[in-house]
Amino acid sequence: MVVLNSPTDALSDQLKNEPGDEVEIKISRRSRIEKWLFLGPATVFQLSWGWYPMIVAFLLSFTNAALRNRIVFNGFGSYQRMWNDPLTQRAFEVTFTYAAMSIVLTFVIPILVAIFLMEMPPHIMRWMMLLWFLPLSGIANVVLWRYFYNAQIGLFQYIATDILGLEPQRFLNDSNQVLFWLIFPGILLFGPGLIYMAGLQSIPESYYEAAEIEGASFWRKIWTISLPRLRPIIAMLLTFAIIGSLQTFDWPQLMTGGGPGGASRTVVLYMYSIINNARYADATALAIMLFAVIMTITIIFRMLYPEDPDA
Amino acid sequence: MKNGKKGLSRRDFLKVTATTAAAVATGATAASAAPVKKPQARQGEVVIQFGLYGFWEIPAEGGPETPGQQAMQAFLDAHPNVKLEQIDFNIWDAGALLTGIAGGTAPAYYMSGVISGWSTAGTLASFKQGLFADITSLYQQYNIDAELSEFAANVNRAKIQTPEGNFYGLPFEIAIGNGIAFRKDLVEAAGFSPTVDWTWEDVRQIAAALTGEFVKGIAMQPWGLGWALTAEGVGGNNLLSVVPAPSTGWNWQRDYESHMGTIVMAVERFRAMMYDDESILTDVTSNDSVANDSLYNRTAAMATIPGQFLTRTGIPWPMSIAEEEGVPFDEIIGYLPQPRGVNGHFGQFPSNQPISFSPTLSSEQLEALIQMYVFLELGEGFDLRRRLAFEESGNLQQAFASWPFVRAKQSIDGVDGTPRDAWGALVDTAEYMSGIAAIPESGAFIPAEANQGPTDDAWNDVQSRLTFESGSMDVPSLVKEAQDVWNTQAADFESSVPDDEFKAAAAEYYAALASFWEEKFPDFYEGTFKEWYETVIADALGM
Amino acid sequence: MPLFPKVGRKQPAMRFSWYAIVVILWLGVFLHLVPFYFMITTSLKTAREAFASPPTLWPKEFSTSAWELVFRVTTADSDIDRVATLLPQPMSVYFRNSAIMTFGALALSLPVTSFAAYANSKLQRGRGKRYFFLFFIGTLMLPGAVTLIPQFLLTRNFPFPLPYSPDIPGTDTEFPVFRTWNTYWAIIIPSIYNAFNFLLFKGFFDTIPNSIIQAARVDGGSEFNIFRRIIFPMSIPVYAVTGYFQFTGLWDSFLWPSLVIQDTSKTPMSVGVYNLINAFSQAGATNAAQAEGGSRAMREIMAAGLSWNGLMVLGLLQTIPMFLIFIIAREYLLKGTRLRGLK
Repeated sequence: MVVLNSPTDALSDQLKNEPGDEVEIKISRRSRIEKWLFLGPATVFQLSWGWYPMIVAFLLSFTNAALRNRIVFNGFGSYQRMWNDPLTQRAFEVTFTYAAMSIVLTFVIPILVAIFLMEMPPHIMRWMMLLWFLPLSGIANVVLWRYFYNAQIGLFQYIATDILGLEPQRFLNDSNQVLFWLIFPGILLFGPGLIYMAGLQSIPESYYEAAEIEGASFWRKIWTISLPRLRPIIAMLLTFAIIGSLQTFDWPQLMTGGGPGGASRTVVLYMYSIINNARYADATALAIMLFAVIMTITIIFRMLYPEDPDA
Repeated sequence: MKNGKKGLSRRDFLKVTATTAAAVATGATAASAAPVKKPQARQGEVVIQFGLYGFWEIPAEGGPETPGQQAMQAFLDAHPNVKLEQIDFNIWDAGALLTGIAGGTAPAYYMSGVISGWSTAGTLASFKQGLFADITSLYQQYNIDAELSEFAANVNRAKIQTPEGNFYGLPFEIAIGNGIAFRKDLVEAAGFSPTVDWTWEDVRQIAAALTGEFVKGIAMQPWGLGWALTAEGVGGNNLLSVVPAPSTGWNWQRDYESHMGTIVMAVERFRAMMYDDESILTDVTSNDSVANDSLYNRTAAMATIPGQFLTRTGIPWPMSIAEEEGVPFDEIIGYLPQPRGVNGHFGQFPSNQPISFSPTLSSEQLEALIQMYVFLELGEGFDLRRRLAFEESGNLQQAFASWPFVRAKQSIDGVDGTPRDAWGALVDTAEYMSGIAAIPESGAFIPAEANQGPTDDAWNDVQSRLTFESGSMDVPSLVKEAQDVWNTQAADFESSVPDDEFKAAAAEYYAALASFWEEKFPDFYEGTFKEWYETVIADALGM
Repeated sequence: MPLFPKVGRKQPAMRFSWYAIVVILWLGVFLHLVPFYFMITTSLKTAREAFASPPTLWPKEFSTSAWELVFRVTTADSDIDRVATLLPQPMSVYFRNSAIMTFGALALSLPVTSFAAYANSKLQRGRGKRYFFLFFIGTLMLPGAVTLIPQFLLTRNFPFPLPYSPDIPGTDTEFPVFRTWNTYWAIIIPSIYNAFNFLLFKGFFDTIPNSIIQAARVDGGSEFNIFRRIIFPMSIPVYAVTGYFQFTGLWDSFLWPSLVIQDTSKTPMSVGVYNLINAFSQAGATNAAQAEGGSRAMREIMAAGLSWNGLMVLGLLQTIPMFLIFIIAREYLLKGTRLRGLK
């Protein structure tokens, strides 16, 4: 265990000034070879099964992408078509709203839940973890939430009118509320809390002990120790949440099919509609447009929020 | 939470890594190298691969068991060179099918509608894109037309044959059209006796009268408003809302403005049902089965359901209500085609859902499949299957399931009974529907597009907003917006059919339509169609 | 229990916070249990009741018919063959296939992905690090549906994304190709590098102070030894989590295996089960025409006697292995050794 001369100093030293910052990391030549050995296999697979098909798809977006017939170069035809399509713009608007809302509403809670879960006595924590992160294949959820939200016979309507005494609500049938209600189940369900728990596991207990001696309060410890230590993981999951939420597809598709009135038709949902219409080149062009948007947002986000506390 | 346990030692780590990697490598190699259970195609042997959830059954290894298997066994006995193989491929998954066809791994047959949005134009375009095998010579060689019922041969003809004369599909299921199933006992008790020429005004009154007794008067899919508009021939891609536009890149446009009055009338009536009478049970999350289940669960007195749903027994089809109540089906369930429009228009024509074959099949495989079709769907195999199903269940409805048949002979050898014995008054509706000659389709006249056009999303959006948004709405401007969106989309499409050719073919098509309406529905022709034909269409085609 | 002070727990504010947290946590537990409850009770309803809307909260009449039906379907060689066309193989075959694919992919993927993440996090610097990061996660940004066809064609004729192998120019012989289609490798190889896991590993490795690695370097350890002796033992929790996530992802994956595996004897369980469920629930139909196709498939399945109650049984069977792996992963997650000896 670390022996602390002055708790305050040691704590702030550990938090602010990561040892290693000043030390210039010198990587020897052997290390450099090893670095490539580490990177090599993943690079090979990422190139051959990740980027290669992506580039093929990208090239196909400039053709008619015929599945059986001769492939004919088509220039920017597909891009022009998708760019001028009024529904593309709508789909992007829906996608941005959905992504922003889902990140605001669902991102923070799993972090807190993970922190809170670690507070429970061990045997209770084990049970709660089991129940909180219970894996479930999605189909029961769809059936269930369809019933919950049904505006005429659903459970939520019953709660709203008979228990809370409200006017009948419209839930998913209201194009202004549909995105909120689609996100709502995700506020407590489906969180990536497990990942944060893994991160919290690695925070040295000495940090908390030092803080406790210093008299730091409960929230203060979360704010000054747990969250900063989780920062890289938060950054990564936020990156993933941005990428993932901009590609939302299955939940709106299964719940509302994009309705009402296209109010929940995301870009990927529209893309599927086009693929099922056998317009593969157009769908690819739309996907590439989405790719450009996501890439831009991700790069901006990474510039605003460097993930590495040591860097 | 102190834990004295050390991390994995180096030895452990290496051991675990090495053993798992080795185990996996050997396991996977062994597994993938294991002999593929593909029957060796011997000389003259034809192997055919069936996907999942299809229509034809492969006999079980221990011998055929179900009627379908026995019929297939009879075919295989007569064609010993044909071998069947089950592959894992869901033939209802459009994305999987397109991918499989592109890579040459698709199953032998599938419904052509799956990859073409179920529309005639889409089906033709898919053929043009090479997604179905061309079976012209086999179709003629086996003289399939002669074996089909007149009904099957004519309904949606363009789904099996191009205007140029190529065949690419075989009629498989004839749906007598979409309609409304209702609780006959209750409707009659409320003092109504609807007939085939009812209108949406009648539906509205009945639904309003029966709301309260049930949760709602009528259960519908979220696209229920579409039924009400199709009845009038307007909105979506219905008759009066699609106009040829040879001068633009894509040869078609949407035109909702010409019949805005009719659209607004139908929409307002539907919204009055929904929000004033509160007689419609629908939800953005529901689907066909929800509408069907509502009738079955007695939460609605009527439901808009596809005709095919009726000719099914067991849970949860309407038929089983009668079983549960212990009364003859005829007394409790009625079924009528979708109402007609106030202008006399009729919109729910029977539809034909053909099967097509994979374009990668060899000519031997195709021939075997056609023989199979002829035997199992048109010939003795069909009789055998249905007779066995009847004998097994004692239920005449099993013998006449999915009636009317595509084949010419509507009776079954060895089964003593008629469709009327099985389906009662339903037969009247079906006969009425089949009495209406097939409506001319553009696909039968106008050469197929090599590409698909814009999706129907623009209209579906407006339709769904008009259904689910309460309060006052500016219907005309929303409808106009859908028109603009579609036409804007279409502006960037290039038609593969030359303008002159298109104009001539379109003129023929509309002339055929005019004589159809004049003969079959003179009220609609005189009151609505004629004027539209002579102004809007004549202008568009420069006639 | 690092957050709540050992002294002063009895203070009203502390007690309030404590109970608030407990309430929130139990609320979440409750919400997570609802779908399970629903699945289990539905599987015990009669077919008639499984269709009721609104659903009954408790089965009016208990029936094990769904379980019996499913066990007949899934264990029978070909007893009731109407149903055997829906699930052409006994469940044990599906289970074995899923296990081979899933564990095969895991055993290769976890080392490959974590090595890359470690190198990107700790060995690379500056611009190279940033570019490699984008290289490694860039593929996440394109919706998978559009790379489906090229990837599928690659399983047919790697390295050519074509339905056939082209001829070597000037000869009649075809280029030799690496064909994985319809083998377990078609599932395993594309999932060896996993971009999502890369993000998780990288995020985790970033939390490890550089000082630890630097100290080991000073001691003269090779990078691999540093990884093996210091980083890996510290990272057991994150391996448990990523392993678990990838396991559920692979076990539950459906679209890709359904494309590249065509022999029913090699099909994983997810495909067997979800094909049925999807065809039955007509997922996502938005108009009459789409529904028409879906309902046709649905009728085929119902004609074979399977309805919601039976599908819920299948859904539960599909979930059980994920559940077991979760319990194992949880043990490793909680056993994770903490950083000790920080200077």
